[in-house]
Amino acid sequence: MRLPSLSRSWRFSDRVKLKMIRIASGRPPADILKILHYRREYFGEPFTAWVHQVLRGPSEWSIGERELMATFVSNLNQCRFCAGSHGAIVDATLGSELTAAVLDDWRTAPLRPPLRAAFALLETLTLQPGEVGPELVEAAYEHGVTEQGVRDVVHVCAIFCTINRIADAVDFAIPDDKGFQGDAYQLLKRGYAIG
Amino acid sequence: MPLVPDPDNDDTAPESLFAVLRHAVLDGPGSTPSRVRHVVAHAKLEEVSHELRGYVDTMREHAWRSTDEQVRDLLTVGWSEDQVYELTVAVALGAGQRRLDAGLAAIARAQTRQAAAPAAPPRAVPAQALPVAEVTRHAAA
Repeated sequence: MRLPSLSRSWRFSDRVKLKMIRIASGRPPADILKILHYRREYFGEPFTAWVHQVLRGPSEWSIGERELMATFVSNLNQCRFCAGSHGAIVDATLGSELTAAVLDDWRTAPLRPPLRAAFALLETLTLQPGEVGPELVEAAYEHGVTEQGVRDVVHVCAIFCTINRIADAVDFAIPDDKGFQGDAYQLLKRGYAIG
Repeated sequence: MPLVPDPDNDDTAPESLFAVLRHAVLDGPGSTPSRVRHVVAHAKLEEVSHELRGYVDTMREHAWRSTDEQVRDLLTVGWSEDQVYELTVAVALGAGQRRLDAGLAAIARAQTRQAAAPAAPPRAVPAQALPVAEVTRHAAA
């Protein structure tokens, strides 16, 4: 990690918590956890409250579908850490074939029509936010997506366009497949909020 | 969208939670002046100091290309690790907000277009598309 002091300045209870994670998992906590617990009221607490609500709160999109959106955006942003982390959750929920198919080409992946419309919006919003017009929203409506469903898609995009940049700027270490799978299990079980 | 938390709104709505985050990152206590955090979040490159400009631009447009040297250069000219962290989070949040604003604006424009569109007249149904019983009933009427 490029800013090593972020791994040292945690409150006592968080030092204990991260130590327990290390003991339970048999490996150092992921760099994302170090960042989220560093001055947690500045970023970690409010950020994970937002993420938890969007990825685990009530939605017309399943948890797996929202994680698939997260993986897709992270892949567009070329963030290996986030694409691997959330891709492992999709593998565990929707299957690794779907993850691979979407990352290869979402247009030909076996997606239900509302989800395909969501991916069209996500692609433009991630790569060319200035080009997003009402047509992409209306196309989603035509496939049965509600306004709240579109809002959820927009928030997933905003979340990952934020954290992808932090992960790459700080240079998070990339876990191996077993590490990603272990983190995916915990994120499915516990969610995101560090509150 | 609200830029600061609105206590009258549902505080579990994603928009409210984002507003809380934005307030903490850009206006909360920090080692970098709030004004500088706002400037980098909005990528006002002309107002960003020279040594910071390249880092902000890389972060905003293609963060995967950021390098050890870029961070080291900032530390060398006197920014602390804590300040670099705050600036990094602020730029990233600005990029996220750009997507949020663009997406919510598109939703609003779709609403406006929907409201302005004339109500569609009832579609005439061709007789051959109706079930036989329907055709019989219409023919008898």
